[in-house]
Amino acid sequence: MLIASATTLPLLLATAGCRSSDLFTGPDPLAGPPPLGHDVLTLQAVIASEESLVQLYRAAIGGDLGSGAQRTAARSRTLGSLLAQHEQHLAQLRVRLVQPPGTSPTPTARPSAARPSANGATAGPPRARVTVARLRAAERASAADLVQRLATVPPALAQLFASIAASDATHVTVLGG
Amino acid sequence: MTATTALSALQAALAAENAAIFGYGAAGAHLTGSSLAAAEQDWTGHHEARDALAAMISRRGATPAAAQAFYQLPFRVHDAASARALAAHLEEGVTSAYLGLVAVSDQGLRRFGALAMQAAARRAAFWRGRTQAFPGLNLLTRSVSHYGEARPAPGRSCWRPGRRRRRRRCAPPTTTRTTTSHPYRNRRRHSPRAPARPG
Repeated sequence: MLIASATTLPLLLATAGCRSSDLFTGPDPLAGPPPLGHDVLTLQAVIASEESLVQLYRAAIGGDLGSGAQRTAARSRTLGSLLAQHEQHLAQLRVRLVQPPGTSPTPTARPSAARPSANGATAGPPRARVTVARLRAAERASAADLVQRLATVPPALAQLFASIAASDATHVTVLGG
Repeated sequence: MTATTALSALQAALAAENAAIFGYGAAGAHLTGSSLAAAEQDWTGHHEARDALAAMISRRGATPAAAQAFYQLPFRVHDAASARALAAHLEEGVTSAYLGLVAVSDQGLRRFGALAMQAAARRAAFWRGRTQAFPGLNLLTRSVSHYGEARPAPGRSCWRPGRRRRRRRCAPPTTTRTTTSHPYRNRRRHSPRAPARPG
């Protein structure tokens, strides 16, 4: 009895004069992992954007810690509560991301990938002191980006995006927008 | 999703707006100063949103659901703090209702619902004094119909803009009423206008 493994099956098929795709109506199982679907790519992009926001907030709070002024401490508390909500966003988004085994996680999640994301933040550690105005702009951009993506995602994901966008919109107000 | 569900989502949003209009009447009777001004602005905004939703429903060949004569408030409103809590509760209900529009297949309605959610979430954050991580979503398991199941207690007072601090019996709101010409204070931006109907 022959056991068709990933290495022996092509050989058997070649001997028989047919390709593996001739035997299956679905995607060719020997052609490697299937390309990621639109929903997965969208979710990856939103996760990367949310990660950038989290890093931006952490940088802003980290910059405040050294100064010690009372006003700055109050600002840090406010930013800390907003950061906590972004971390909740991130957790919910990650829960919904189901990727095939062997695929890499979110493409811009690695710190080395310091390219601008949809919300204007960078995925790498920000170097300059993060101002409230920058956070406000990032929140506004994030909300707009999420609304922009609503049209092409399934209803449940659209509702999550819309809710996060609404949260971001309230953050803009908290930050003085 | 079929057109029927889009209609039902629009009707649900309309029902939430009608409940908010009624609820702000109860809340405003206990507010003063800048809080009262904010309530006036929100009350006007909900009227505008209600009219926009009614027009969208009519354009789809349906009849906008009429507001109920009376709405049972979720808790007793007796002072400014409870009035603010009621306003926040109303806005959270409106946010949740608009979340239904985000799930329909019509892209214009999705965007409209999402932007209306943002406006309502901002108002809720104002009244509650804090933001939420997932506006609208946390209310999905809670019924939003608890406003309209019973009559209010006899003698319940309410407030309408232009009748400051004057309490009177609440009049049933109607869906055919046009937008009130009350002075609009630009504290915050309100619900978005109805989007153009997709071709």
